[in-house]
Amino acid sequence: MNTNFYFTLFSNCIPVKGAVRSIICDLQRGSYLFISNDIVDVLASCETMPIFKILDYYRNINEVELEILFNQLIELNLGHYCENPDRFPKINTQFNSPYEILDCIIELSDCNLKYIDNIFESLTILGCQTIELRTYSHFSLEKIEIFLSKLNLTRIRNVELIVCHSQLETSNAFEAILKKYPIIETLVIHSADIDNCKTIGASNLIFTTQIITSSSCCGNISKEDFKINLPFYLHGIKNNTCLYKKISIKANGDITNCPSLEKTFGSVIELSLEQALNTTGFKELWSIKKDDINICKVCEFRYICSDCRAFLNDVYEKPFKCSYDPYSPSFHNLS
Amino acid sequence: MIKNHKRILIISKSTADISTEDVIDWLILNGNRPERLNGDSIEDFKSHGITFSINDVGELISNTGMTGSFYSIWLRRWSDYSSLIETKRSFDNSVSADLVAHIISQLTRDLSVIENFILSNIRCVKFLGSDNKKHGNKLNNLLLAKKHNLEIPEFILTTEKTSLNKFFEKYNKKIILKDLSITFNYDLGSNLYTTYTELITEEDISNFPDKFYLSFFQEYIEKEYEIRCFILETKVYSMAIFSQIDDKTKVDCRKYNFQNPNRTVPYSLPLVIEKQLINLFSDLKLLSGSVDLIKGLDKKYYFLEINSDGQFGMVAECCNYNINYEIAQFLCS
Repeated sequence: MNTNFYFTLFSNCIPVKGAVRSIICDLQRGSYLFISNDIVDVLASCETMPIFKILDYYRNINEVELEILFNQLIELNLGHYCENPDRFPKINTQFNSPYEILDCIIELSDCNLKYIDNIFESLTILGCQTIELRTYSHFSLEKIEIFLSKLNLTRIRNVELIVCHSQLETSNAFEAILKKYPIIETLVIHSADIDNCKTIGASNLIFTTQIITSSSCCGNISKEDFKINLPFYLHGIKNNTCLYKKISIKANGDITNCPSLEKTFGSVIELSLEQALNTTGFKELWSIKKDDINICKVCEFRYICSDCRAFLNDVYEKPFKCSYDPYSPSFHNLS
Repeated sequence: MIKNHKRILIISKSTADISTEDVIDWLILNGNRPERLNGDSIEDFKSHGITFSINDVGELISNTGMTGSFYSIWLRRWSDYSSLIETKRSFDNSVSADLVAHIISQLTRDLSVIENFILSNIRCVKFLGSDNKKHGNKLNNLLLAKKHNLEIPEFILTTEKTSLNKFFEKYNKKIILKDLSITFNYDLGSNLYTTYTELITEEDISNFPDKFYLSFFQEYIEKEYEIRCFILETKVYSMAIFSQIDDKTKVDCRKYNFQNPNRTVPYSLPLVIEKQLINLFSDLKLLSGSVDLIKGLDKKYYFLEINSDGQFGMVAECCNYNINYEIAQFLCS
């Protein structure tokens, strides 16, 4: 080891310190690695000090140990030795997008079908990129198709469709839908008899026995739902990852931040989505980031967690349906 | 961003080109309504009826809406004539494969005359993009880069095995063979063959005949990492690619390792290198494009080539550079 060199983590491998342990988020490969808080401190010093200075500063670490640590991180392709760390700047955290709304969730219903043209016109104006269409009980495929047929006139790029299984439709009918509308990334059929996944072209068709009866089924926080990528991380350090630039339309036409939130900002029956968006309070929760939330702020998973601002007693409290305790640190079973 | 409503034309390949969409979205946010022409639609005669002609005063007119003059034009991409593959398949077996190949290459040449005609007859105040025929000559660009004091890997073009042997010895028996034009793809149905940059061994050379077609050989640079830059006017956006760690991508990082992609991170080039690149671009009258460089183990920066098409999506995404916004800004200000 040349101690005149520096050791740096790659700028898309970001250490996140928790109450008692830390992780390195590999935002390029979508994975994370547990490390101790002490090592995070050493790595932070490595950004500004060459290795010989690190050895000088941390008297309790010997060169052999340090070299073993660095080589492990290099082996895992998380960092590298370099002569001049200024050549490897940190990733700029300014994240701008030309869209006023990024995500929209629509509960499919006859009411929303009636106002479908207004809804999609608004979403186009707002630049909405991702849409989730849901049904909790049977809603005919013909009607679902009317919603799908409007998509190509908008600027929406990703579509997720979550429908309730019924005896009236065969698996083939769903496959035909995916073939006809390749814009659908994922089609989930809940309340099914079996759990099964398959790909149709570039789309995923998922049958699940899980029963989704209402919007109260949302908001679970689990390791499976971690989102480890750069755009999500950049959003998470500045905004609320659950609600930022999100708009929802409930089955009765009510416009809300999220279908699980009670507070309405008008109805599609009398308002456009733009008008609702500019109603006082609509964007209020957008800025509540993980660093502002009790307990979450000391959680090592805070920048990869999907968060939920619907099921809680207080907006600055950790999600109700999160069973992780960063102090123990472990996941507890929810009672 | 400045709000104005000038005529902006965006020339792309097809409707689903992410970078094109992103730039258009920034323009829309500011009330601009850019017009768009897709190269593929020119080719796709079955679904687009297109007619071009010349009016009394010698201006190009067409039913594509791209007539008159524009404030700015962004030539992002054009068709890659992939529809010709379909055309190729449409011949029945009575036509010899040889004749089909001739017809297809004739069609390709004709289409490129048309492309050139269209692109040279739309008028604008600001033009962004490149005509690959003008800027895509690897050999010219290497020469020019050297004139601008950039390091380049030494190369020869030769027909002689004796010259090649000398070159091979001179560069410590580490040289590469590389495409001069575009990558050569050959589809054998079951397998797609493509040419990558490859190291040449002593054994390879011993198997060469004494004389061969004029071929391009280049010194192999032992690299610390590769650098991909996107240049827009006088801004250089750089990204380091750690392809060296992985044997699979060591010589040609396009042999993507999907299990374990090469590490790609923001990079800051020495200002003197940035200046040389900007001068090289202005010499070529190029406002934007991509450049490939290598940081050698000898600590020098070597210029490899320019991709004037300038695919910047990956650089922008990996490094969170706001290139889409900057391009939109360029087009409407």
